[in-house]
Amino acid sequence: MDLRLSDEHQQLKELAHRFTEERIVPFAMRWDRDEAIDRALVPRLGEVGFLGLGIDEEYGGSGGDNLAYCLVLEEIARGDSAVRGIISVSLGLVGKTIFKHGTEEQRKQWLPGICAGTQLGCFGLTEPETGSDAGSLATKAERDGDDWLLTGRKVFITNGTWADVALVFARTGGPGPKGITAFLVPTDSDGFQATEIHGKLGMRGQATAELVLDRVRVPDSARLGEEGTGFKLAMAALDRGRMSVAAGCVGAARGALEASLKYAKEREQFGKPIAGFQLVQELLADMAVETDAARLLTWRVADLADRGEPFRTEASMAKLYASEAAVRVANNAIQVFGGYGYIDEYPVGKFLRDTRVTTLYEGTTQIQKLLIGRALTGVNAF
Amino acid sequence: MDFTLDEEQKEIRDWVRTFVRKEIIPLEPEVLRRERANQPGLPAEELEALQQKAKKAGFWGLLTPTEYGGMGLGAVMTALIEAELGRSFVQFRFGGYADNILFHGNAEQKERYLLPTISGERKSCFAITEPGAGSDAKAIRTSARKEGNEWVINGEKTFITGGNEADFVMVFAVTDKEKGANGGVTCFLVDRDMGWKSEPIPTMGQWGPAALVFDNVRVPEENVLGEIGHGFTLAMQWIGAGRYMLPARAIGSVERLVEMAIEQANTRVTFGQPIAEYQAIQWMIADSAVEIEALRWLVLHAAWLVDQGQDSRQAQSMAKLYGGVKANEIVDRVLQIHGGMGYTRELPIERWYRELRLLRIYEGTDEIQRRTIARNLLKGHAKVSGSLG
Repeated sequence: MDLRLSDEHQQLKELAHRFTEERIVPFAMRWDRDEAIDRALVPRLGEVGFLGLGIDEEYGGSGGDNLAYCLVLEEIARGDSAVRGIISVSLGLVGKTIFKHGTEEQRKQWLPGICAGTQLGCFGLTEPETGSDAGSLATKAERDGDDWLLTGRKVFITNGTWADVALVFARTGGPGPKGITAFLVPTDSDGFQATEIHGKLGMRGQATAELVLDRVRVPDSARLGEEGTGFKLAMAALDRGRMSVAAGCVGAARGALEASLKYAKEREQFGKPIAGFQLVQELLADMAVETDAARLLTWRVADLADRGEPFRTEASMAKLYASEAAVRVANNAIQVFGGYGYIDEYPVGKFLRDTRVTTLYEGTTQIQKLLIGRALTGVNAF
Repeated sequence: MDFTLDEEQKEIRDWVRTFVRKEIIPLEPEVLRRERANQPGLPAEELEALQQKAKKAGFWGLLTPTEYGGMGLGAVMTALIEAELGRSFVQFRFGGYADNILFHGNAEQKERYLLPTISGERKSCFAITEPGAGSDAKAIRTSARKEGNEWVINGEKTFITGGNEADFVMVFAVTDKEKGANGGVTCFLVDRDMGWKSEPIPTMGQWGPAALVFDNVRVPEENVLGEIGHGFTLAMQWIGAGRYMLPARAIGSVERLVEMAIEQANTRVTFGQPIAEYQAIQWMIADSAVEIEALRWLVLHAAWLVDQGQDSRQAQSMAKLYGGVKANEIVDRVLQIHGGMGYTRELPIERWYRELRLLRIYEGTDEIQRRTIARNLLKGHAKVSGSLG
């Protein structure tokens, strides 16, 4: 057992820290109000290699292991979870799925752009009627000669209006998970329409969209993996995705704690800094314990993944714990800030709004509990 | 980064796990029966027989340096072993242990106190807490005044673990009232036959501490441990050394409890199906498993820092706080899953329930841990996540 970071990991973490301080922190509040980050940031993320982590250099990637990925995501999320989410989706869910399961042609077509940040990917699994029950999705893909015609609706799709490629999961066979196939759909295809969803509670800097596919034609070469394996690909992507969400939650929790510590030392009431009151210290101490525990659970997943060992249940545990902890920590931070935490001049309200979605997406807290419960008891309670 | 255990660690852990399964767990029904008849669950001679058995396999003095015949294991290994021992409520511990501060004694003190404690011939206890000084240990009032070549100790100590069985005490007394805890407290090694008395304190758990009374107890001056006035530092060293060990032991307890809950969930049928099929039951099991995993890494991280010689106080406080809080929540869920049976004395759950409550109180209450954690952050002694990367 050795819980030290290597020099290489430490340097990467510092690079991500500087990048976040210089290019994200000063702007995060404005992006949140504007409901969009400055999109020029995306190629900048590509230039420093943050959009190519885990992808081989021959496809434009920057290499690195899962721990490296987690370290970068923590730092970025400390500044703005919306930016972290753009990476998690474009690189984590789409890029890495292409890298692991795509053909040589598909890798060459999409990965250089995704890694450089000149192109973005989105992940089209959720539909209006199927959230947690993704295996029942209704979007159809039908054969038409050598091509496929895709028709259906996808909702809550991060990067949806900005993406160049959509990884779309559609039904090609019978009902249930085994009838689903994955396709790489260029978003400029005829019949593909993306509409941004406004008014989100948090993660406002990223574009979340509804996708409508109306007989969108793609060649068979756009199929990712074998027919009927789409659901498996989606679940594998989400296993890794859960680790990345967990890493992001650790960053957001840390950001909220750091802001709270600073504020508690400055803010005076009853003639002394509120940091001197035990009830404030209780909030701070609990925040610190939960943040460290969440990080250890997350790094544990990265370590398993980097050793090529199974990590599915551990990823569920890390995601469940880190997301719930981040919401609690951010909520505690608002309590420390009082009324000032309730307005967006200070960062802590944003931490709560941004983290709130992490207990919902990529498998709700309830789904994680069922997955973990099933792994422990052998009984399926879905 | 490496979260894995090496082969030697696994081998030692597995040996202890087997020992617990074969030698300790089978004693549980009898231990429970005795405890409920108000007898010692594991009498001293049975404990010693088990310790000797383990010694034959080399398990003796886990933390005791090899030059004293111990194993000289590190903190991570000790935490892993404690977690295995925690799988049974039987209060077994390996022999060959001696309090860390006894190693500070001079050659003669080592001969008279340290070595016989390691060998098991003598039994120690550590006495700082008083009726008026618990979390606020600096408020102790037990006094020692010098008369010729002797010190005369007067005062009361309470909640002293092992105080009923001990034949000597490491007692902390004020030798300079002006200086108090800042150089005015001294540690004395005091044999029982020098005249202190102990009285058992009944508790809600099986932990049976003692109240000690010192009424003009005369102690020769060579029985001062360490330097005069440096007692408080020794006391903090004793308390701080093994804070990770308590939550480490709790890991094993809650693992075993959750295993019992899983077995119960899979076999207990209500409304025509095993209760494991109900989401409400699975949630309790899942939440417990996640928290055990979080606890495990908080504890191992703290122990790892100890082994690295780094400042581990923040991490140890975190592990102790989290362990106490979560062990209590988990045993409560496990009792809930067992329903009425969990509340009875047919099962050991209620026993564990009572015992784990102590974890939130002794060796630093939850509140003291939180105070330490927050102060370290606010004063800059610890950075946010500072010891993690």
